Amino acid sequence: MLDFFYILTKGGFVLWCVPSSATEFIKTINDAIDKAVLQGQGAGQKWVAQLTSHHIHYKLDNEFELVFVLGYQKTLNISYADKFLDEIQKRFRDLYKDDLRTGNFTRAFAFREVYEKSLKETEDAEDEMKKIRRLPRSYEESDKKLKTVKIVTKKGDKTAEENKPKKPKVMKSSSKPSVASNQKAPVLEEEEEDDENVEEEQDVEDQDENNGQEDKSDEVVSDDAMMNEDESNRLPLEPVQPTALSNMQKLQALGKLPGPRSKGAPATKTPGKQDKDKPKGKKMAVSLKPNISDTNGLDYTKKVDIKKEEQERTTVAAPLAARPEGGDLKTMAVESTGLASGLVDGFWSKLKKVNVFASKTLTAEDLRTGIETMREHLIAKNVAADVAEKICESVTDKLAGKTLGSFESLTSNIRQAMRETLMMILTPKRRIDILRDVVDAQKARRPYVITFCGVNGVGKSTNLAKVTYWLSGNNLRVLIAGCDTFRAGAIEQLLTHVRHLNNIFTEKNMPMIELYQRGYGKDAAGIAAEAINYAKDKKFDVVLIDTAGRMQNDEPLMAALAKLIHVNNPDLVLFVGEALVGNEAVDQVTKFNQALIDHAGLQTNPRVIDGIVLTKFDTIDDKVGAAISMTYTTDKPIVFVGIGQKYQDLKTINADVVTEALLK
Amino acid sequence: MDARQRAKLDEYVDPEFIDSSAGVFPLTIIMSFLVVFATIAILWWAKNRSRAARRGECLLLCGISNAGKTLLFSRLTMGVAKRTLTSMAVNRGSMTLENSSSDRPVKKVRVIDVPGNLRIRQRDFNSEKASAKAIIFVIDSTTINKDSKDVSDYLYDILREKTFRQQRLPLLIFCNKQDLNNDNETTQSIRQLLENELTMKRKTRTSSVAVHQGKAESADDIGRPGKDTFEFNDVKDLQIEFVDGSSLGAEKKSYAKHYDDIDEDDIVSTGDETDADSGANLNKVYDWIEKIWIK
Repeated sequence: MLDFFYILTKGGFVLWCVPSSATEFIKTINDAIDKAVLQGQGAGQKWVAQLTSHHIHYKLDNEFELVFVLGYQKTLNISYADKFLDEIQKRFRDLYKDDLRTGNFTRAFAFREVYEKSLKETEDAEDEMKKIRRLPRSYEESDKKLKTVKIVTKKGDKTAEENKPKKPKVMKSSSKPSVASNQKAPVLEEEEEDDENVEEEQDVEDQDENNGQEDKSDEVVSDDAMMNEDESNRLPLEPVQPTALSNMQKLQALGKLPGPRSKGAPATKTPGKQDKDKPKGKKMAVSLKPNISDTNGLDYTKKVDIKKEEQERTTVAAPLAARPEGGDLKTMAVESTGLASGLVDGFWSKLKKVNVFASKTLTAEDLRTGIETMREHLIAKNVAADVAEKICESVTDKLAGKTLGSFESLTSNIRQAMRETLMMILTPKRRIDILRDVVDAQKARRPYVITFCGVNGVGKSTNLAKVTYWLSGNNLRVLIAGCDTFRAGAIEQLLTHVRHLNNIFTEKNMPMIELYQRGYGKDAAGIAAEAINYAKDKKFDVVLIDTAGRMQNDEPLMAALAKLIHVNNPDLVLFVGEALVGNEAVDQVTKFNQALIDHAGLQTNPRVIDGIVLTKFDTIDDKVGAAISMTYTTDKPIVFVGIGQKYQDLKTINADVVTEALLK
Repeated sequence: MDARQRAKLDEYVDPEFIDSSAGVFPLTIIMSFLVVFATIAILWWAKNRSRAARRGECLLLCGISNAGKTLLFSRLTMGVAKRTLTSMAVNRGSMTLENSSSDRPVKKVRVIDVPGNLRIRQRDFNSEKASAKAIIFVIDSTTINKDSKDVSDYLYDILREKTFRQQRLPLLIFCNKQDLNNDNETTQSIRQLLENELTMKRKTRTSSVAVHQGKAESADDIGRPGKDTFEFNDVKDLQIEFVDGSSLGAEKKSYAKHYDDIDEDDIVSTGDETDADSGANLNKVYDWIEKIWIK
């Protein structure tokens, strides 16, 4: 059922493979290596090949510098792939440890028997598992429970991260106790922190519990009971209604403001909590069990505050505005989390962490703290959250199992691996050389067409003018197509640019720039087609098409853009994005790409974004994360970087500088 | 017991122990610290030294992806043609040169294979270029027409490298995979193609948009500054040679046999692979290497 299985060194030598003579998978594997392993796009050590229909799983062995790759058809569903990889890795290493260590790769690895045996065993075990009847998951094991727990624990709590065990769905029975024990920790944390939030979530949770199962483990029941302890002091009245906390309380919950005891507690809009004595009804009866009476000791909330808040709350009638906080607005006490503790070491702590003599093997546990710090650091530098998460996963994969040499510390290794990953993301797979491609187009007697697209207000027209300035300066004749037929003043803006640039260039006897426009309200794709024909007739070298800005989820506009691109087939489709964007960047590029593919019509090879123009780069100091988010999502290079609003402010990206800024 | 006996006892007792007990103690601590630090320093220096010792001594294999560098590496260092995939990391090894003429019959040459994948090439090349004594630039003759832009890009970077020009580095451009098709590009046509591309590359590179916050590089132009077209003959600072051949060649058969039917043959000895090093197709490369290392 597996199509192929390869064992290779990181240097590229195939140590063992099955099937032994087929070479048709080489391209697939090469592609997978490039995308998944190097760039770090493979999430969870899996990769779906685009060209052929394979699922590829891989495992890196950092100790001996090996890679284990297997692949199977997309239509199959082989759930034991990861387990099998682990198994094979163990066996291979045990058998050939010495040879691998000395680097003796020329020997033949007679591994087939062991492989076949292992495969059979795994498949049999899999069949056995399938025979066991699977109960539906209880609420505790479901992802929803993990999510609600995560919402409650704030301040980037480590235990919230622990609470996402990546358990395979098959091994349900073994993971049950571990999940339950994991939940003990966050529950304690909850108690220490914000009372109000516990309250708020209480309602959500209770409803979920009732929808869940009856078979709860003891720990989980105590979990509920502890929260109910608090609740018994202040019973929520109605079933689930998201209690509207005031802004102050929300800020407190986020940990940004000191708690209510130091300043006067403001009025709260929680009418639901007034009635203390009304029993909760069915919900409470189900959850409370008599055998967890000793949980009072685990209740770390400060009882004093609860009483005080209740008194405040019972007098709620006045809206918030009538009871001002008194005095000026309190500033947010922003905690500055620099890249502290984990990574900036003093001399002595560095000495402690440095391995002088022994060689230590890195495990995932060791890496976790450092990687967590790194992830938050990346997010603070404006990298999208998903992207930061994936990058950290791939760095963990790269470092797990690696032996530290002498004089290497953990943090230096993490930083090095992170630097390499970021550099690899920012380095393009193919360099885009516009001037060289223009020469090709000239030989073919047609103009080179570049399209600029993006959302509203990112700087398409400005950067188009900068590109015009650059191209004209290289003695190329440029035609600008005004396909932004929607925004008021778009055509006039381009006219002004053209006039200005022509003024600059007439003095130097350079070619003239022209604008092809047909006013407002017309079909953009038609105007673009006419412009290209006009350019071909008049022998222009380059055509730059300016489109209107559009939001990525605006269906009709995206369809119109896709039509423009597929009808005219430009040589280069540039997505213009601003460097100020945060998590939106991922959404924008994904949706643009998706829209272009969806509305491709009858084309077999739909066009997608070919490159990115990153604008307003001078406005961010070192929060350069948007560059990473965009290149990671599209795997396309950043062609231009806009660093200002004058014609000369056009540069290409410097991967070193961006990486250093991200790691600083 | 009195003064007399005490005086006798004092004879036996070494006065040093009595008097200087206060002074010795901190001295020993300081000495021990110094010893520990010295050991650490020596270990650290030794570790760094081993890396520096290879400077300017190695043979570098460069080229874009899928050119055949790793296969060439295995031929040179191990005498075997192993099946290869995209390299993710640098390969280091050494090959032995047999030289009958001089008194040192065997000379060891360190070989470094730099991955061609664009993402890691820059990083690996930059870290290895300091240790280069000679470079073999491997080109896939079958796809050179398609890849000419990428190849010339890489070649341009190598030609422009200041340290190489200063040390007058020998550069061998190895047109690989001559065995695959019959209508391959010959060495001459590849040379011509590269010269055209590099001519254009000179112009486009100098007029391209500057790198943001990049180092102000002096215009390291290749070829003769005044001349418009680029020719390899113009490059005086590097010794460039063109050679064709094939890393795979005659041993295509034993190469597959290496992986097939392992349980039946149960190849324990490596006797099957050594005939791969018939070297028929790499003769020119070997000659060139010998010329450089055995002067």
